[in-house]
Amino acid sequence: MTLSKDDIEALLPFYVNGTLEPSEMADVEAALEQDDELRAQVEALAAIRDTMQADSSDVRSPGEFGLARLMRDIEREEATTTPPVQAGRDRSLLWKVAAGVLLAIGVAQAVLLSQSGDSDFRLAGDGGGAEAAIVVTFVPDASEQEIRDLMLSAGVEFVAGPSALGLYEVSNLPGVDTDAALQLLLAAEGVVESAQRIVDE
Amino acid sequence: MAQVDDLSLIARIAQGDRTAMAELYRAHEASVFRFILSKLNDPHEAADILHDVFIDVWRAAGRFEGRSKVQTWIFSMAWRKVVDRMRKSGRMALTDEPPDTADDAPDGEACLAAGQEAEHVRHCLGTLKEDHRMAITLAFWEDMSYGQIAEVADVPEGTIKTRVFHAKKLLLRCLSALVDRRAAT
Repeated sequence: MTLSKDDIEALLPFYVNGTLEPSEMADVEAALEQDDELRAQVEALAAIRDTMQADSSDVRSPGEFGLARLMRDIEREEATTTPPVQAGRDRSLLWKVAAGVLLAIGVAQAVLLSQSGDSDFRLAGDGGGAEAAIVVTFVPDASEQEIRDLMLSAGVEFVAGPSALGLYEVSNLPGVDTDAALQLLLAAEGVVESAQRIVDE
Repeated sequence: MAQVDDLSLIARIAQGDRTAMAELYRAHEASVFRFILSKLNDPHEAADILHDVFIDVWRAAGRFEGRSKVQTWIFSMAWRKVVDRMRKSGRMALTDEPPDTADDAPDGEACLAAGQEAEHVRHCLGTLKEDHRMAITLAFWEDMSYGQIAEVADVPEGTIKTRVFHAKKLLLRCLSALVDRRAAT
């Protein structure tokens, strides 16, 4: 045995509740075999533990009333805020990706603008030209490349966003059917978190 | 509830699953409430803190990294809130100084009159300093290891062993004194 008697005594409550590591358990049991006083302490502590656990059954907790209060407040909170933070889903990453996409599109459009001299050209995100047809959010882990490829394959372009909630508005390019574009966006589960057609009021 | 179940519930809560939140609440509510109540001795205040703890679980589930047991995580939140509340109200002076004696005088006679073991244990627990009582109650009510209790209290494991060592001695001394008095009457 390598532990002092004080060390053993400090472990006794945890010997009684069964949470000691096997090596500690062996040390305590070896000490108990040689010490009547320690064995008496174990008996007393076990009785105290039993008494405490039996006595605590009388405590009246809030129970279902507390749960109803909790659910009510969670519902209220959800109505005013975003869902709980999810592990590994860094919202700031989404913003960085979105900023990258917008920047890339902006640069490409600026190049086109300088080459064509098209004075009607409109930068994505200015919200002042093509009418938004779909509102979309991206999964936080989606890369700029994935988003760009999807936008090109679906035949849509950014019109506005991101909003404070991370929503982007996109419009379908000429000749592209809105529903077909929406279906393509929805099918990209690893890139798109949600996509919904904007209903005219 | 098994840790694996708790972990899966936390993962679902992180996705906004309220059913999982209700399951986790039902699994731990009574024990967390008992723990809080034992520190504050005010059921209404304890219910408010319990509520705040589970709201925090809802908000922070996505940040839970699984480095500790879910039970330990919940109790550590509860303990921090209890300490804040008691400090604000001036009800608590946390110290690791080992007390020389447990004060078993004030209600000792009442306990003897009641003649019940549970009363005796309650009385003697009440004579312990808060941090000592916290350690022994988590050990005996929740069957936590000293490592878990150290996580809840955010102190080294050695500190918990020391607290439990003193708490145990004082508890046994207090109970012996009560039994001796009962035998003498």
